[in-house]
Amino acid sequence: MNTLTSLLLAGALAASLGGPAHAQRSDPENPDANATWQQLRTTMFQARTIDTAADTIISLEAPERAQDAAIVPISIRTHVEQRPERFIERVYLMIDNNPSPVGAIFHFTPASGRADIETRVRVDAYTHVRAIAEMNTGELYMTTRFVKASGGCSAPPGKDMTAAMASLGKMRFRVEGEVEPGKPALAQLMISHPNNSGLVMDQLTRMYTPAHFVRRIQVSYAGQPVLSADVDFSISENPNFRFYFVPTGEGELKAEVIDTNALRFETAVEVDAGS
Amino acid sequence: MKHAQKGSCERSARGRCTAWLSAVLVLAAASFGAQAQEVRTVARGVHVFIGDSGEPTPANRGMVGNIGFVVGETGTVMINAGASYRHGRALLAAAERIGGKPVVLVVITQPLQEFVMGAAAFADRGIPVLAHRASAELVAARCHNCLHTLRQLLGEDEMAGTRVLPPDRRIDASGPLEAGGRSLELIHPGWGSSPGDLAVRDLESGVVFAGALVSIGRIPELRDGDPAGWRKALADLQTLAGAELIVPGYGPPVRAGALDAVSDYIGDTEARVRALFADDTPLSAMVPAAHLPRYAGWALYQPLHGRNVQLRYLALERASFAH
Repeated sequence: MNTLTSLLLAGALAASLGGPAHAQRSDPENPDANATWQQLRTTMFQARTIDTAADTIISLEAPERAQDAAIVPISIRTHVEQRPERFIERVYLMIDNNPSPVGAIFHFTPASGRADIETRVRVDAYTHVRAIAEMNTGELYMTTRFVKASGGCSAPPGKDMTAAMASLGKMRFRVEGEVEPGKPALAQLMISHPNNSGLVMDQLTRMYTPAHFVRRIQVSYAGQPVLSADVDFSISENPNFRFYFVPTGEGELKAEVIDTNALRFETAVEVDAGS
Repeated sequence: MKHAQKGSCERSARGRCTAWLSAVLVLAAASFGAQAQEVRTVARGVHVFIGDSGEPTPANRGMVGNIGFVVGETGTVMINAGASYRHGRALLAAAERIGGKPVVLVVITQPLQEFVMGAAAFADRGIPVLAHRASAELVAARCHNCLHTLRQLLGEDEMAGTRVLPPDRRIDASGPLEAGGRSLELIHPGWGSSPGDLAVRDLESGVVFAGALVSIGRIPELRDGDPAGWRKALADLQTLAGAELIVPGYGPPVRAGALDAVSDYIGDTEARVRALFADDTPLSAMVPAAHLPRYAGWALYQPLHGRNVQLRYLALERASFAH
């Protein structure tokens, strides 16, 4: 088990010790007060300083009121050039009131170009969502948004359920826009996967759908890592990630995805940035 | 009646006064506790409880959407059951008081909380509840979640006694319905606003109850819908109704021409979402990008249009994995 997996587990454990996450109330005006966050902060960052006046480093876009609690678009933007001597090494995405509040830990390198990431998450209740940037030099910066989302009868008719399972692990991977050598290029990775949390009961059978979700994603360009992520079931079904990498010429952009059933999926796209 | 009557009594080919009450004839205001719900009579023995066009709130007590009833020689058929056990009880009492005939059947047009949550009030009186099989299955599969949410939203008191009751009489296709001494027709136009859509047509008056297939001045909810199937269903309803009134799920009774705007909304939304999807627009940018000013004045544009846009975008995305 690597350190980051232990951190994810620690996060889940902290939440379970904190009692049912659903029962917690968050004060929109006071993001520091949430008990889950206070436990996570101690577990993960100990006494380290976290700078919350972080607008020049990291910002987070999330809808104030979610259209659908099961699929809330989250966009993390960073404002630091990824240079070998100083870059954002990790971005933590946390959702205080989710059953497993550490939704994802993204790892970046200088070859990422930018440490931006866009994805979609499940939100169980009114909650703060946090993005924390950790520099390679150790400083921590946090930005916070309050998101109002709650379940309803949100499940649409099961028109595509069989199709969804038939296409399990299918991926679409592409690079968007014009690609220029040395300039960060935007890539999108889409994975067909139900990302079942294991916490949802089928109302007809009264059985819980077993947990089965994407656990790890690794992306490399020309053999160099540009993004890796430890993720869990806070990520919505059909996980979707938009991120950057720096093309240098011809090279293969390759993605590898591993889920909780130890299924492994791979895809790649040839990038020709000219030179 | 003075100006209100103008043009409202048109003789149809069959020589009946088909629209004699289409203006405004408020027969009675059925009392639901402190709040009165307006009842309109749209033809002889054909009545509508006009519901709110917004989202369920403590102020409207969840009474969203229109509920109809048709009174025959021996009995009354309800079209939809209301939003809670209490609402169902009140509808039942009001319909029997106004029509003077016992309710003998409830027809559910769509598996929506405002239409199904009152069903137990009718079932407790031994009144059968009929729906398309696909609707009955959706009620069983997901309405427990809706009930949970409604309890939080409207309070335990308002929802007291409410339970999820999947309809016990299930049909698979269109067909005639004789009930209460009145001849009705059940129409399943295919997967339109939901997989088990039913419309109800009264043969005597020609009035068509369209349920959530028709939403007047209010954004239609695309969650359960099939856009192309829905637009076809609307065209079918227009043909079916001819010159007669259509009672929508939301908003006032209308003539067939008013369904064009509903169809336009579905078509315009689908076209915009497809164009933006094809253009690699990320989900996070979709809601502002798919703003449609023409419909911005309709009830529930916020938040329903954004929700519709996101749902259709995600449906296109799922479909893209199938290739």
